[in-house]
Amino acid sequence: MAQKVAILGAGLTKFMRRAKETGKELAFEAARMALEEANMDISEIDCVVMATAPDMFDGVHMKGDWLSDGAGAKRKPYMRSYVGGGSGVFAIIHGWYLVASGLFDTCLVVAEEKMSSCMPHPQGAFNAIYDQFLERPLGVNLLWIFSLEMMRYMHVHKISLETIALVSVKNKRNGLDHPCTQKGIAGEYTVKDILNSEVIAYPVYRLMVSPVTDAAAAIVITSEHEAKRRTDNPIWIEGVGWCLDTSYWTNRDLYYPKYVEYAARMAYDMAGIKDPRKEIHVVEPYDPFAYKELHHLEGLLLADKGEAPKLLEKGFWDRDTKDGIPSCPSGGLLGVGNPIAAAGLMKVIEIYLQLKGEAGKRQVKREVKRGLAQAWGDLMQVGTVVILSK
Amino acid sequence: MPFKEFIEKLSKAKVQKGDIPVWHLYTLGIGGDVFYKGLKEGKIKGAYCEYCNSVILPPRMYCEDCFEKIDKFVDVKGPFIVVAYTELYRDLDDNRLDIPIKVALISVPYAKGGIIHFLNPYQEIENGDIVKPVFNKKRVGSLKDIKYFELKK
Ligand SMILES: [Zn+2]
Repeated sequence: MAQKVAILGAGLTKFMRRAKETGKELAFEAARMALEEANMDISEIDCVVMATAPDMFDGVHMKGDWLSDGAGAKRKPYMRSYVGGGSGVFAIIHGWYLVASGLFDTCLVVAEEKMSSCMPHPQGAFNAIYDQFLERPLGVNLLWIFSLEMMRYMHVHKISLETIALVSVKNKRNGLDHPCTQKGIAGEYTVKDILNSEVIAYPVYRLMVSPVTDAAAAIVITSEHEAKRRTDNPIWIEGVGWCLDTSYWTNRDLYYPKYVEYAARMAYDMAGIKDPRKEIHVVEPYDPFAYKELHHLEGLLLADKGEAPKLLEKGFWDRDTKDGIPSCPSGGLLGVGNPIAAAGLMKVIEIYLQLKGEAGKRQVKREVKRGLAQAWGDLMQVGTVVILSK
Repeated sequence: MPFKEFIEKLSKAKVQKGDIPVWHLYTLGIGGDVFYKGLKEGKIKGAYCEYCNSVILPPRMYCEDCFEKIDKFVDVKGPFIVVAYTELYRDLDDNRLDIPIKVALISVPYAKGGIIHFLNPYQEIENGDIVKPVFNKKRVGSLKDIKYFELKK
C-alpha cells in the first residue's frame, strides 16, 4: 500500500523572455521559496527530482546533471524527469512515487527552463525531434503538427476560429492577475484582436500561441507523517497518471488525445473518482496553443468530445463560474508564459494555491475541494496528470 | 547465434547528413557576472557565504552546501596552489602540438572550489607549487583575460 503524499510548499520565479539569472540560479530561487514556505532546511530533504526539457534549449548537454546543485541536490539521491513538455507535471508524479513507495519521506521537486539561450529560436531544436527521414527533410517545425491537429479538431467538430480564439481571450485575461506573468503576455483582448494577429501557420494565429520563456518552479512534497507533523492543512496528491501514444503522429487520430484520456483514467482510478465532472472542481489543462486547452479538457473526460468549445462559449470554464469548472485560472501558458517544464509545475502550483484558498485575485468563486493539473509533450504524445485535494 | 550479422563496412550503410540548427547565447548569470567583471579589472573574485563562513571560488549566487543566497563577494588574492596538472599533447581536432598545453586545477587553501586554467608552458611547475595569475594587458571580461598562471617567485 502506497503511503499518502502531501505538498507542503511551492515556489515560482517571475516568468521572463530573458532572465538575467542562469538556469541554475533560477532553479535555486524557486527551490529556496518552496523550502521557505514548507519551513524546511535543505538538510531535511531526502531526495531531489528535477524536470527540464531538451538540453538543446539551455545549450548544455546533460543539463539535468549540470542543474543539480541549483536544485539543492548536492550529495543527495537525484533524478531528472523528462518527458518533453509533459515534464513539469511528470516531475511531481516522479516525486510522488519516490515518497509513496516509502523509499523517502521528503522530496524537493524543481522544474527549470532557460529557453532564451537557444538561438535563433527554439524552433531549431524542435526541428530535431521529428523523424530524420520522414519529416525533417521537409523543414518541419513544432507548428506543423499543431496547425494540422487544430485543423483536424476544428473539422471533426465543426468548431469556428472565433470559438478557439475565446481560449486566448480567457487565459490572457486570467493571466493579468498572476504575479509571475511574463511582460506583454496577459491582457484584455477581444476575439477580433486575436484573429487580427498574424497567421503563423493556418489556423494558428500569433495570439493563440504561448511565448518563449525563462523561469523555474519548485514544490516540496512529504509523506503523511511528515506532513501531519509540520502542518495542519496539507494538500494531498490523490492520484497520478501518465501515458504515451505512438511516436508516429500519422498513426494517431489528431482530433482526440487518447493518451491524455488514459493518463486521466489512471489518475481518477487512483483517486477513487467515478464522475470527474462532479468531483473535479478546478482544472489546469496544458494550453501552449489555444485549441489545446479544449482538446485536453475532452481528453480529461471533463467534456464530451466536441463539447468543450460549446461549454467555453457558455462560460463554463470561466474563473468566476458558479456551476462550471474553472479552467486555467492561473492564465495558463497563454496568459503567464511557457517555460516548458516550469510551466507544467506552475499549473500544479496553481491548483495547490486554489485548494489552499491562497490564489489571491485568481481565487475561483466556486468551492474547491479537488483539482487537476495536466501537461503534455514529448513527441506530442504524452499525457501527464495529477489530482490534488484538501 | 545470439547476434545478427552487422554491416561491417560503413560505406554500405545508407546515411543522410544532418544537424540540429541552433546556436546559443549563454546568460552569464549573477555569479558569473561578478567573476567576469572581476577578471576585466584584473581580479579574481570569490563569493562569501556567511552561513558556512566560506569563500567560494569562482563566485556563485548561492552556496550549494547551505543552499542559501549569497550577496557578498570578495577579492581572492591567493595563495593559489596547483592541486593537479596535466600536459596536453593533442588539440581538440587531434593534431599533435609542438608545445604541450599545461592545464591545472588551482585552489586556495581557505576557499571552497577552485579554478581550472592554463599554466605557463615554459615553466617547470609541480603539484603543490604556489602560482599567481598573469593577466593580459587588454582585458574584455573573459576567462582568457588570465593568460595563464605561473610560478610565484
Ligand atoms: Zn555556505
